[in-house]
Amino acid sequence: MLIPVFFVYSLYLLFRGHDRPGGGFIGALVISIGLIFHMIAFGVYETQRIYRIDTTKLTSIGLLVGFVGATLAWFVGRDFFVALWSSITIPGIGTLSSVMLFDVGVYLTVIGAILKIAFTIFKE
Amino acid sequence: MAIVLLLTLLLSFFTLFFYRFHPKAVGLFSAFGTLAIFLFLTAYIGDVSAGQYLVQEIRWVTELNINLRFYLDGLSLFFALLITFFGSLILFYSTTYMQGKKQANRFFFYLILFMASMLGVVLADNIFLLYIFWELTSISSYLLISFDHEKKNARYAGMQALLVTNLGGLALFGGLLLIGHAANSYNLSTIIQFDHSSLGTYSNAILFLMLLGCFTKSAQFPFHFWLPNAMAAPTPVSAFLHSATMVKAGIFLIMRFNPLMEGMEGWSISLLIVGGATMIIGAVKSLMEDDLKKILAYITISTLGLLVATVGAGSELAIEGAVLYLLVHALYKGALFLLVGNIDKKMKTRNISELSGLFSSMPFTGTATILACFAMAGLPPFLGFIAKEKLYEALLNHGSIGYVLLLFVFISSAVYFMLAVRLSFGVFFGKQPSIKNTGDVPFLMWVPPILLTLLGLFFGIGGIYISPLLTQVYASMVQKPIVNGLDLSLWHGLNKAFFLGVLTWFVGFVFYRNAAKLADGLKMGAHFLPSVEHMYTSLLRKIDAWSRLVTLFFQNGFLTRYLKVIFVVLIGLLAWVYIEGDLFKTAIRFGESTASTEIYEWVPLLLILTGCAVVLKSSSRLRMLVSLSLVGYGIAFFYAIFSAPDVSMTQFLVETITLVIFTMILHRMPKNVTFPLERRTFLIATISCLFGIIMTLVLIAVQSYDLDPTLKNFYLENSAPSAHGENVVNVMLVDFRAFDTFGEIVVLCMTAIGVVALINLKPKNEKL
Repeated sequence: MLIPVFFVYSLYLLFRGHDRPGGGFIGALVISIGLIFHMIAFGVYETQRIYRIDTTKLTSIGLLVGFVGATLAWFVGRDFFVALWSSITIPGIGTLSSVMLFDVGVYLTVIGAILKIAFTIFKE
Repeated sequence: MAIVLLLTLLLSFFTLFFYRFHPKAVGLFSAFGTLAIFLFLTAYIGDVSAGQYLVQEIRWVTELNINLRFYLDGLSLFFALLITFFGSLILFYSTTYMQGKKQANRFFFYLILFMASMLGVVLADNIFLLYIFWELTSISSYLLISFDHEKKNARYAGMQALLVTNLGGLALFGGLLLIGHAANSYNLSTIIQFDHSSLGTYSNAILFLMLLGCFTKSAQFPFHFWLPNAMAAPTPVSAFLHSATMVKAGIFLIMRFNPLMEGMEGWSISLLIVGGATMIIGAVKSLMEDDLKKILAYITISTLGLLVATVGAGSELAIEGAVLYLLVHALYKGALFLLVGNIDKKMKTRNISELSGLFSSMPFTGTATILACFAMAGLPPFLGFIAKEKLYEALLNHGSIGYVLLLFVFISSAVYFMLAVRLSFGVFFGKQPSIKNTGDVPFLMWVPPILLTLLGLFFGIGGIYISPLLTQVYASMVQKPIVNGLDLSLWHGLNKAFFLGVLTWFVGFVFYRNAAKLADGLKMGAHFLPSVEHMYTSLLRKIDAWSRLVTLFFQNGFLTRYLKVIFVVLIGLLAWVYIEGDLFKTAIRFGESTASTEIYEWVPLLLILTGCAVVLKSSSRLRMLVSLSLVGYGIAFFYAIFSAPDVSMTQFLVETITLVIFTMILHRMPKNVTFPLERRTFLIATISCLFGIIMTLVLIAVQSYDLDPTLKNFYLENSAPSAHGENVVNVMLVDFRAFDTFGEIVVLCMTAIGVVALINLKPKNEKL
């Protein structure tokens, strides 16, 4: 039941990060805790099944997204790792930018890695 | 040029993923694709031969002088053509050779990846780019050598090659950095226009480092021992990497930097000595081997030495000879390796004494081998003949050093001749083999070698076709305007060089007749000489034994021992610094400033103290764990109080997660914990108290220093306007210092993989 709450809170933290406390890493930790609690209660297989979590895919996609976010500027002629900001502002999420993309990448990667560790230890 | 690299990289990934669907088609596609790249590069021959050169630049991190800059001149085009042409032939060969082998898709992936990195090395203009590709060749070579990873000697050889070439790579990087700093430019095309005087005080260091890099990669003495062991790799790898391309990378770099380092004192001498030694050692050792591949490997070592020494000689003829000989060697050696692979595949043996009379059953392979050996022996009208003549001519006019080198080259060439005869006539003619043979190898396995040898023949007769390009190669190496082009005519008249050539054949033939006696004599002599490889192995073993001793002392298996040692050393160091810096007054000042404290500051403090007390008192591990987390939460509260909300939140969350994970692990451990003896408890208590005291004192001292606010102000000022963010900490993490963060998440993934590997690959037993 609490998982949706965790999830929303974690996303909120993710997008808040730039102007107020929060950020990708913290958001990832919050959702991880939620899922770990679920895992303790219901077991690894249940958790993995219900939420369709593939930790390897999560980490890989996370790294890829982060990488794209970082190098996006390069494809349009600027230097590597320069930030690109657009003028699109979505209320509640903030201004879209390559930095945000990078943060999302961090988010996904951290979730993947922590869950991978937790699942492995718990399965054993 | 960047497009060339991009296409090659894409090709490598393509083969990785799609090979299993249709092995033969994908293999052929990769071969044709490489051929297409080769043809694309040939379009540049015209311009480059006329003396032009091309530079291409793509921005990367301009502030750090790291850009994707490529440079195409005679030298790089020559090598690029060599690499791609060879690459496509090898891929054709591999399509048949690797049929049915497991993980063959990885083989193609590594091979094409290697080709891409090799292309990167020769095309790179920016120093850092060069280094990255250099190391990539080492890594892909490692993966290729230990491809048959089930075999112990393959793994060992791969690791050895990696260690040796990486050592050189590190040295090379240092040398390159120094050059960039001294010449104030990080682009090769600019650097080679200077001469060595611009290197200033760094010249000796640069010389040493650069040569170390080149010598390790090109298997020069004393770093030559990894190459024969690398023969554990599959045949296409040996043909591609260890005769035609990778080992030539060091030579390429020497050639590339020749204009810069020419006049330098140590340059010529080092090249001559090391090259000369390698040349002779390679030739001699090749006579003592029976394994065909090892024989070829040692001859390669010898030839590489010859090339190095000749470049060291430095005269116009010598350099021309070196360039020619490089091409010659690549052509015939690559062919020979492939042909040996054919023999190996069909006869299941590589022992030269067991092979004879193969011609009737393997006519194609036989013909190709005979032709290749003609080239190796330096017989006309092959290009090899022209190269040898030019070398002799160069050395005859070089003074006393020339004569010494001439002797070395003469002996080596005689050995080459002898082995050429042995490999061709000895193996393919003579008495019939006792082993029944099922015929020759498939089409794709003898056509590439034949093509290579025929090229040697073709260029020998039609030298004018390659002369313009090779002249440009020479031009790159001296950076001076050319007067005349390279003279590649077959007949130079009955001069001394010609007679020397004939004499070489004669002596070589004598060697051949007395092969067995020669081998035995040399083997006996070898027992008295130290072997470098033995030194390498014994060095590794000694380091291993010594580290085991040290480790056993400090890490006797008890965690407490490790911690005690760590803490004692830490206390000692910090105390020493404290007393040295006379930091005691800071403590006094601090005491005066802690006048006012609010009530809410006491709450987390109490939390922390309670946590500590419970830990000390309790006997259940779970209780200890939870109370430790209490301490963690207390600290997190402090962070919040001191206006560090992000850190505080992170601390809270991480504390929670580690608590949960530890509890899971605790699940599988005994309920109560046993304590050490009374005496030991006292020791632990003392160390802990001392550690606490010294850390407190140090932190107080740190507090009293005014930190340099420049960085802090920069971030505070720039965070909002240029980075669009009010939360400075986060902005730093994902924008200003995003590169760090990226590195960290990569490490996090590696940790996760490590955990999975450790836990899942353990043998299943109850104790964790």
